Amino acid sequence: MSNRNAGPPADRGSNHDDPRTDVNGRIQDTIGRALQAHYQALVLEPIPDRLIDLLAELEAGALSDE
Amino acid sequence: MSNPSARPDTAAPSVTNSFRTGLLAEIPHLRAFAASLCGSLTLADDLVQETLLKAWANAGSFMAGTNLRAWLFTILRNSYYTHHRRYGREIADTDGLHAAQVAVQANQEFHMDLLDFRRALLALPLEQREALIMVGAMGLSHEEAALICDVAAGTIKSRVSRGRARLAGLLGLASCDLPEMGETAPHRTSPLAAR
Repeated sequence: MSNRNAGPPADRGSNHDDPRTDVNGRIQDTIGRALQAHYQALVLEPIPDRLIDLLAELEAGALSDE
Repeated sequence: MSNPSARPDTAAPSVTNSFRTGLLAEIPHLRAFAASLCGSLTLADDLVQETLLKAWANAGSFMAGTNLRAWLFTILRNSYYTHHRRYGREIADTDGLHAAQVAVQANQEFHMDLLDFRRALLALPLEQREALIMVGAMGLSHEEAALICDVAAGTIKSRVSRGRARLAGLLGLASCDLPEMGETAPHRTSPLAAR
């Protein structure tokens, strides 16, 4: 996973001495964190049994005709 | 996946233990990616189920040692674009994404709720959304995302850039006394991004 400073160079100014670039950087940083929070929250959702069971059935060859 | 002649009559002989373990380990990421595409965990689970079935049936065409997640994402994405997109487009809200009003850990200036963020994310064009998820949320390189989407890396870069600008606009982050922060702000020709 990327860290919070990761981002394409084209849309992240690296010159934080320029206050305008700095604000832009913090906006992009906020969006980056929100994207990661959104994704991580979904990754942590409990996996439904039907998906686990599906793999078990596949393994048992029950669906090998698929 | 693209080589039908490599497909065995029954997948089982080519399914190795590590392949099966790999599938299991990727389920959370497949669900998160699918839910980000279609906006619903319920639909996401249908997509993941379809992806697992296809992956199992085509296990013989997966090259061991290559990137299993990218391979699975490609299958999932193709399934979504083939059959599921029309359902996804009918989802107007963040059905099933269970986003209570959880504040995103941001900085002092910009506060937002996860639910608000998800609404904005789902309002983006699909191609910008998937690029942002792969690059911005998962940390894939532009090249990896480009392989999954079957486009040039520069296209991914441009989608990420436009998606970020659009999100900033939708979330009201761009309006704070920054006239330059319009649709085109994080573009490389912008004075803000020109370093």
